[in-house]
Amino acid sequence: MARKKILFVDDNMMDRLILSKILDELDVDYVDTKTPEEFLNKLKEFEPDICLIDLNIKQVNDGQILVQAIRNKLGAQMPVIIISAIEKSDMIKRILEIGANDYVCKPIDKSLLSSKISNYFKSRKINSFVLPLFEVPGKEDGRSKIKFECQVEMVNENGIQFNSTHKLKEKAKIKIADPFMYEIFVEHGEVDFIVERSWISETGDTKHFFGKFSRLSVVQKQKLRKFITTQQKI
Amino acid sequence: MAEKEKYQVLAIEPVLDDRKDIANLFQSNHYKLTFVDSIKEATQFIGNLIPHFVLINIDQNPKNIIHLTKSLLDLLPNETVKLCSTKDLKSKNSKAINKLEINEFFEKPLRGINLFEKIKMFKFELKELSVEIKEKIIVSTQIDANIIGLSETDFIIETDLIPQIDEALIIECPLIEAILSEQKRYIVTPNKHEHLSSTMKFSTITMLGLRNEDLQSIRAKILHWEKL
Repeated sequence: MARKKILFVDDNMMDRLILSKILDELDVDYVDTKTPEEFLNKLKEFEPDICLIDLNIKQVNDGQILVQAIRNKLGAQMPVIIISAIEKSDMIKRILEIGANDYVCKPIDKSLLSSKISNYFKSRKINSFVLPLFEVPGKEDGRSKIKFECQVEMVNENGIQFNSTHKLKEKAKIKIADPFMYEIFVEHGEVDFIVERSWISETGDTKHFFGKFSRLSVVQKQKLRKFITTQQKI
Repeated sequence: MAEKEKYQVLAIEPVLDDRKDIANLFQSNHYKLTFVDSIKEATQFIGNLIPHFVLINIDQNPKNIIHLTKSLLDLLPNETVKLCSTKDLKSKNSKAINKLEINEFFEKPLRGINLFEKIKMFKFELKELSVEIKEKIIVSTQIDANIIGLSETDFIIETDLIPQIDEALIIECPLIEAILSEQKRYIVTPNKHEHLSSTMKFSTITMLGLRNEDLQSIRAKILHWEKL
């Protein structure tokens, strides 16, 4: 199996040495560059599997240009990890918004960077180093809520059909507290659904599901009929 | 439609004696029968509630009964069963109203087993109301999840959502929030823990923008936890 390739740019010699040492241990081929120009020149020729870019606070715009160049030359799938000493959350957010896939803080934590690189190799079907996973013990409470967006496609007396980026399992329980629910029921509050059907469109790019109302009062059912009738006339 | 569902029946019947026949026709517990005296009252009723059945006595006084009936029918969805009743099926009004989109015309008196069976048949054929939403409406949806594992870069969630790889997710979790210095960006990444891959129950979430202090907190937290 061909060794994986990493291309990185860092203008600080000491940091380049540290990074090289980490990459040596990962058993990958890598090329280090000192300037964005040198990096761009190597990009097409070296055809890396992952790009690492060092950025300081004044270079965020340069970073954007580099990321765009990577995307243009090697496509949107190329993983780009930014390495930086920037700690301000708004700056980190901006860095991620310029199109980078990930961010690692300086001073570089070896195991963290190794794991992130491995993650991206893994996503390209290459086995590599994985950080150990620890079980959340019973006394700790891992209960969470995931919020995601769905688009309404159809409403009937039993429920609502949606599409989403994510797929839902059948019988999944979801809650919606949204102005659209107020539009239907003319009252605030959460509406509970149970996913009755879940399917992927024939083209494979859209995930749909039908959420059945868990329980509706007689008054809510009447309001629902009224809403549907009004919408039918639009 | 579920059998236990109450079917709303709106009867426009000013004649008290004829109301008895209608009540007999819809005597089953499945129906909720409401009587009104006029089409005007019926219009007000429909403003609040869309009935499953409408029964209109067309032998009413107003000269413009045809126009009023048409206006009322226009307010109703196709799925509502529209019935009319009259003493004279051959009258001018009957002939005109028969041309409107109604399901059945009954001749009074409204009695007999055939009529009862017909109503029963309509009940079984009732369609649920449905509408396609053409406007782009995005709703915020919420699902429960449970974090079962944590590493220095990721956490594993157990949920009925199968999230799309590379998509960002908003996850509210007191456990993670207590460890990290601030709200992080969470991205769905491919599962790299082979022993969890046999089931679709678990998803791997990578925490972006971790600082050294975050790593220290994570390490302190997982120090005495068992390996998963």
